[in-house]
Amino acid sequence: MALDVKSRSKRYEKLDFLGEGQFATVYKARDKTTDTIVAIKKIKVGHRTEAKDGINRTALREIKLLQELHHPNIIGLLDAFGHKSNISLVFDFMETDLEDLKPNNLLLDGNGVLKLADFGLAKAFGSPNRVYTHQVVTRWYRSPELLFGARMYGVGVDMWAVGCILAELLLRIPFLAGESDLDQLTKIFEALGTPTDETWPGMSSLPDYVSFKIFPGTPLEHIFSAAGDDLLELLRGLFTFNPLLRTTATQALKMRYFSNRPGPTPGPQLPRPNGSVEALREKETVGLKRKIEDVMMKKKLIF
Amino acid sequence: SRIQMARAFLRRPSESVRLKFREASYELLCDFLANLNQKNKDNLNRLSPCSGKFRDKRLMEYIFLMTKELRLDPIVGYHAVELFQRSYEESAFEKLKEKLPLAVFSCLQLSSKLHSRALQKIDNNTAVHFLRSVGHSVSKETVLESELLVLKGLEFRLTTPNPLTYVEVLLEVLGHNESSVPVEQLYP
Repeated sequence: MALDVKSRSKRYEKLDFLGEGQFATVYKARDKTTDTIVAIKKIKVGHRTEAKDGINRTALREIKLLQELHHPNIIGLLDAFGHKSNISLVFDFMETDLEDLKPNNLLLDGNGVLKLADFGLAKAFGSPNRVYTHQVVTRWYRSPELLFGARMYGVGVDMWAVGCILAELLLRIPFLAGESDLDQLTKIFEALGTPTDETWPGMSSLPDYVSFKIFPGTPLEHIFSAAGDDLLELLRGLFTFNPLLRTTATQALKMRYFSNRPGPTPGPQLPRPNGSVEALREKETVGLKRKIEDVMMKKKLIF
Repeated sequence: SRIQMARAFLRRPSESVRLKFREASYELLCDFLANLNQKNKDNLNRLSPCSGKFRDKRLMEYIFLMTKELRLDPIVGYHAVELFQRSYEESAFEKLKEKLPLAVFSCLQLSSKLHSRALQKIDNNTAVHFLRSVGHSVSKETVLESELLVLKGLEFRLTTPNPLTYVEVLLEVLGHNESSVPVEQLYP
């Protein structure tokens, strides 16, 4: 066993330092056995939280979940090993920056294939009778039922998050960037209109429900002025308040947006990240932010 | 017994998760069943020849007693049994005897991190006190080392089916199919 661990840590040749987070350091490395480039996430076991609680809980959950999930669009955990008191996780190497997995934890590999990463907080399948915790999903991507404290929820929470990510791709800034849970709900209702018990039956019986001011909402075509009708139809489906009526992944894929021309760019032909593109994006973001604020302001004035 | 002395150090209220029945949809239940079936098949394909060596009655009793004393949810205990089984399947039972409380504790600690919510934490101070109360004086560093040792023994494979999960899912299926069955009362 000990020999095995030693040989495994020697299997990887460190090439470059990629970044450092609160709990881990990430390196680019070469797997000498397969001659492939990998990313190694070295968990800091000597960290003061370890002294208190032992091995980092989030790291353990990430290992557990990634071992259960095998999918072309989920980042692959290739190996895990321990050396002395360190724990190292070996991942597929991604073209996009691994250091900053937030906000969306969506990565692209060298062939332009999208991979989901960072599963530290994901809910594993256990049994359906165990009450789920509602403190999941980064606030900006959290669905209204989670914000109202729903304990039993389904895949709808992920579809809401997909809507937020799609909106962010269009706007190039987070669509609903709340500063607290209440502010998050306010931002959602300002943009999409306050739901009623007719549009969302059962809303007022959720554990943390509070009644909100009635906002009329902003038509999506005003917020996403560059989006065509097919894309607006998709967004509307994803931003449905009633979780039972919200568009599911299967329904979404059957929508016109995914069959209408133009088709998606083949992965390997996607532009690669580099400095000049980033700089350009920065400039655009400032302009777009102003544009969104303008749209929202106009609407508020009408109201 | 020594383990009962540990009670003095554990004044936290019970944090068992309240189970809810009859709330899962038909689709969700189908997903759970398909997932459990696949996991079970994977597990059977991977079983080591030594599997089952540690299914000693007294050892199981010991693990569940410690689960209870630490006021952990039963699911944490069931998972710890599986972790213990796999992590130590290569070791000789005789060699392990002395370190048994620490080894069991580490399995429970790992298991609790995989299952429960933020509240249900065994921090290393509690660990040291608890282990001392069962006659095992160790430092915090030793507790961490032991946890790492279990993890390495598992070769980082933390996923393992446990019987309680199957029981919970099957009870939910029963409740779904036969609404008159009092599944809440059937729960162990």
